[in-house]
Amino acid sequence: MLIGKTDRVEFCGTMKYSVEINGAKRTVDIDGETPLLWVLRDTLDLKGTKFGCGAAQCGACTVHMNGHPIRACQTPIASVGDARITTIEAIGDSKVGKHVQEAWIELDVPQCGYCQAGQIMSATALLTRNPAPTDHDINVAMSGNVCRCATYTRIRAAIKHAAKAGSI
Amino acid sequence: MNRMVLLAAFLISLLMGGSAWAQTPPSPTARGEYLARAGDCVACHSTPGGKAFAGGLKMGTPLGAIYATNITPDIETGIGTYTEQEFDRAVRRGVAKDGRRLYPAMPYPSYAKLSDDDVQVLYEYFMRAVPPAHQVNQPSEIPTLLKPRWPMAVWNAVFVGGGNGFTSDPQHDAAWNRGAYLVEGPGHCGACHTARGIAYEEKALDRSSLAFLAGANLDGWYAPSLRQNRATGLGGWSKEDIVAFLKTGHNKHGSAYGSMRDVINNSTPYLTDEDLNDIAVYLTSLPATVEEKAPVYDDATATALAEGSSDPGAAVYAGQCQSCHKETGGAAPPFLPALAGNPTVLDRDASSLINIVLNGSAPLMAKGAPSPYRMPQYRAQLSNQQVAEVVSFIRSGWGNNAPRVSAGDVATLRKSTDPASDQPVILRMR
Amino acid sequence: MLARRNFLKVSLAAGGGMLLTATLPAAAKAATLGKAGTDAVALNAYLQIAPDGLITITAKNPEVGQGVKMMLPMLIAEELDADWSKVQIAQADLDARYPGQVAGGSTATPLNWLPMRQVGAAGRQMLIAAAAAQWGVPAAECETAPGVVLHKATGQSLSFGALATQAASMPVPDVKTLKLKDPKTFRIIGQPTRNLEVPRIVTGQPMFGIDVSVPGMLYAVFQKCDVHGGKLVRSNVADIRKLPGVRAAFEVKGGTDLRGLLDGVAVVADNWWQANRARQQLDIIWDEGNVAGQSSHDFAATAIRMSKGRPESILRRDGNPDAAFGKAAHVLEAAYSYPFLSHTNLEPQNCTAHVKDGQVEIWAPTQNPAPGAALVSSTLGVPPTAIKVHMVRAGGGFGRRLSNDYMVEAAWISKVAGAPVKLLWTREDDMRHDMYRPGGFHFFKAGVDANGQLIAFRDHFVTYSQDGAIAASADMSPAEFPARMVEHLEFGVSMIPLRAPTGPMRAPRSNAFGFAFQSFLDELAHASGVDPVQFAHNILGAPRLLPDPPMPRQGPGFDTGRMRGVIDLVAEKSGWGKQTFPHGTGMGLAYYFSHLGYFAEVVQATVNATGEITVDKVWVAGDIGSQIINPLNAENQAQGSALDGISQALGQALTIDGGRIVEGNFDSVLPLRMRQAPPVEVHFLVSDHPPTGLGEPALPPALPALANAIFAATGKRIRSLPFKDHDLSAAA
Repeated sequence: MLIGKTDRVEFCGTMKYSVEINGAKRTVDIDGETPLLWVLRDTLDLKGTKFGCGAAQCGACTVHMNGHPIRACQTPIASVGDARITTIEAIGDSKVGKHVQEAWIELDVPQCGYCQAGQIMSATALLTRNPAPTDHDINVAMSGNVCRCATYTRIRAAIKHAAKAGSI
Repeated sequence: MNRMVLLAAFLISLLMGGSAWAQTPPSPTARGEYLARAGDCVACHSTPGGKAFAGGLKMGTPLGAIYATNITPDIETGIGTYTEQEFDRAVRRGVAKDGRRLYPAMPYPSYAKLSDDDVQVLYEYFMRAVPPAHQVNQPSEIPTLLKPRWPMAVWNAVFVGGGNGFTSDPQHDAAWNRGAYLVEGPGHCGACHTARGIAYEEKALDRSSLAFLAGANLDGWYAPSLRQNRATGLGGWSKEDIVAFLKTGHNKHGSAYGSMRDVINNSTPYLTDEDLNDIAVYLTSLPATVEEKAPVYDDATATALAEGSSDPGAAVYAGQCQSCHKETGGAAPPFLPALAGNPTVLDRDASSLINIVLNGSAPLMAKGAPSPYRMPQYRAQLSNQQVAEVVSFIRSGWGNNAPRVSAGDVATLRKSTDPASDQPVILRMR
Repeated sequence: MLARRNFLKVSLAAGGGMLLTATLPAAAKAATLGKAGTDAVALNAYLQIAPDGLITITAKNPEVGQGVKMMLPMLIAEELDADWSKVQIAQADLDARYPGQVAGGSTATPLNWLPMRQVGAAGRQMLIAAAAAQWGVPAAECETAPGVVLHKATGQSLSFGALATQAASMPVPDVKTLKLKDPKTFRIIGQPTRNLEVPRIVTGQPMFGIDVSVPGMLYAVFQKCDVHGGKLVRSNVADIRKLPGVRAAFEVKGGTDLRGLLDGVAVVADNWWQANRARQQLDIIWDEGNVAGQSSHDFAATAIRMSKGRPESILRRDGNPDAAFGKAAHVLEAAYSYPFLSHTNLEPQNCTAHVKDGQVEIWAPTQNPAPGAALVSSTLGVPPTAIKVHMVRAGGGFGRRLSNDYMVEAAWISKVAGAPVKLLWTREDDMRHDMYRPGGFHFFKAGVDANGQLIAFRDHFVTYSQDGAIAASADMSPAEFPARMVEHLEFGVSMIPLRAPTGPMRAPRSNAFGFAFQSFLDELAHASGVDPVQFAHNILGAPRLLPDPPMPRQGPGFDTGRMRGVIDLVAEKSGWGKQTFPHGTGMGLAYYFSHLGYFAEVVQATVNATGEITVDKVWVAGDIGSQIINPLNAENQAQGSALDGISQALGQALTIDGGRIVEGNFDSVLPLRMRQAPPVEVHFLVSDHPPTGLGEPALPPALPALANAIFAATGKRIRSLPFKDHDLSAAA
């Protein structure tokens, strides 16, 4: 006989969670352990937030919770509560987010582009808190986001570009 | 006296039978299996991917490595020829069939408290339900000079004493006594949570001493105090918190790690709610060793993190930890443990915290279902200095007030520990 | 000025000449492609023009981040004389009308440079013909300006949009009559051109394979044996079917081809999280087969043992190395090694498939769709004509997506589940089921004479075999540098049997050989007291073209002059030899020719007292021919390639133990991060040679340049990868 029965221990079980995503209340009926990432992607059809590692090691799933960058792959939906969640789809609604997106376009940052939603979320959080970041500030804020194509040179330049745009 | 003990044990087992096993009394082998779960025999007497109870697990002792033995009913290599009396002598006295004394890595000082009835059903289980596995025991790596086992007899005389069976306490109710029996006896919680003396003996084997379950360092982990210490023990945990922890490996205060992972993966989630509740009743009765102030949350750390701090530990935290454990240190319990006010964070001995940062945690498997979230390893990403800084930061943030750790502490643990695997460990009971 | 014969030479050599004949005439009146307005007109399989002048150009190759989806349309638009602001780009499906739909080997530029321009030129000629017919003037009197045809003599002009319908009915021009632009008049090619996809990328629009969604789609995961090729004995799959959200769970009996469908258990659920959670409760008994010796530790021990004997085979022998060592002023021996690597595409492998009524529709982020379709055809037993493959943008390729294992898995699972499914691997699946960059060992011995000239060289290369033959991408060319530069040289090979599958990774072979050979050559330079730039000059000798080495895709040969050119350029730009650094800081040089590109790189690095490596700066000099098609992307690709090499050098290795990969995620295989990423300065040496590709050749020199910089900084020579496994604290 094998272990691994079906009487698994449930933390929460399926229930209704009402969460604020990009300014709108969304209700999902789902197991509370489900990471926000999969609620966004599979349940709410917001596919801009990406899956890269499932272990908070790559940053591809970065979203904002009350303006702070968090990894959606390690955020159980049950823990979201009434926090404000912002994703790449709506980050351009903020002035800083818009500047960051424009800088990314202006400097032609992406190669494959897969990590860039997460990079933009981290960069926007940084510039919102710190409008004129130093290289060290950029290193600290951006080192949780892996770019496999290694477009770091341009990401750094684009953050500085967006900072300049923000200061005008 | 002896007769009274037996009577009490009998009464307790009757009570237990009434509550835990509902209407139809289970077979002796089923009860034996339940007890084998409670005792977590499989954790030491099996290897991942190996045959159940066939032994082979390497265990470090101060004298050298020893290997857990084959306790399947295989005639040649296991315990197939053991009579019930011989089995009993091994379990409760630490003496093998051939008269060899067992090393006290086998927690027979705790098992000495098993009731006769429980030993009997355990024997039934091992002899009738466990499939025999032909697997020759590995000799220990203890140097020959230290090998003669006769000193163990002396050891037993000194440290196990003549203690015989579990002594119930009429001052307490049946639930408490059942909890005490499970914790002190089959659960052998003290094997990890009670400090050991210079002769590797547990400093206390029951609630009569404040040293019992007061926390201990073992194999690079610090098994925290299970007493009512407000900061470093279970003083802030309700009975429900304890039950949830034993059932799932998580609760709102923290998550299981280190050897407690084996307990969650193989043992306590399989116990009945009544037994888990009784354990909680008993544990919450153990007084604190010292008066501790409950940690008071201080949001200055969250503010500093949000505004950018010059503390080098804060920089590591912001880069590596904050996206999951949050700037509030609150994380997302029960899935991801909070760091603010967590007993493991607050312990004087920071081994567990350093160990988890360096090596991450392997998946907890409550009844075969792995927990959905897992701590990654940072040994390759952070230097000893960085780990020391971030651990010190965590130990002093959000109102936590535990001492700093040094890069040297980290270096020691880095050498003596291995990274945790992300693969769930499956130990089969059959 | 470009020599036109050069274009023809490379395109013919690469089979480009056939491309146009295969596509243009047949495709001249092809059906409308892409999403342009319904009244848009197709001039050929690549081009359609709407009445409002909007031009839709189809990019035929898979896009994995290399920028080909921009580059190919830029070639067409240039010769069409399109107004670039009116161009939109459509992605082709796998389609027999398009040749060479593959992203690999940095081949897109050399293979398409001429044919894609001919496609555009043909379109332009048809537009001119249409205008000339309307105006009743000779076509020869007409010319074009961006988006319009002009007849200067009469002052008439018509937009491409107005001409499109008539142009489509014009005869398709003969390739021989096509007039291509003088490169001096290029307006699009050579201009820094922003990627049209970026606005969608930065706003999170669904565009990657993982984002595909089709009606009724379910989500799948697939558990295979972590010992590659292990067979399934039994599982608790029946229990899994009862778990929340699970719609199907079944065992799959696969074959023995490690790149095809393998044994495993598939779990299909309403969402991916449920599928993967259910899969985590699988308890599977595997027959792992014989894994004896299948560990990194055993491989290293075997290699050392082999190095003490003669190589199993001799790949090349020139002169008499043993005798020559006796005459050398400096003789050096050193052992180099590098580990297995995973490609670690940030987008884990995935594929969406729908098998219904004998028809298979697939949406795959693949670099190589045609063999994928063939694999699906043979495995599912459906004719190739019943398979439609949509190529979806891939979150990184790096060679991993040249294999199509995920494609056949998705198709099989869809077939059994009876529903469209999106299969998505976890990061751990991805790392543990890759076609790995093979590890390897080089046991070098070399001699340098008193003049600083390399006179004797020997490499005993210990590599891997699979099923008796050399493992994929684990072979070495007999022309590997410095072969042909040294009078006395021997390359010997011995092989260790390997179970894990191997395959090409960005700059295959070169990404490893570059480190080993270029580090050892640097050792020789220092041992002989010769500056590494001078030492390179000594080896390369006079500028000359050496004939084709017997490896594919090596083009016209190896031009020592072009190699020297980039070495001198990078030395100049980096200020090589002009600065003195404090102890702990140094510069290293390395150079390498691969995929038709010549690259030399200098790294400046600092090692602090605790042994921590900081890469201060990287200078890249490359010669990829006469034309940098899109300088904006070229710089990005070269920077990324160099940093990819730095990333591998610093933190990446896989460990094999008991036949399985130990590492599973980015906490143990360390990708480069922002805090480690130095500035990268890129310079191109424009030469009179056909343009070549840039996906790969800037990578190989980065690793040895860093190793050589660390030596210059600390005096410590690192001979194995990755550097994170070396304690440099004592060296600094």
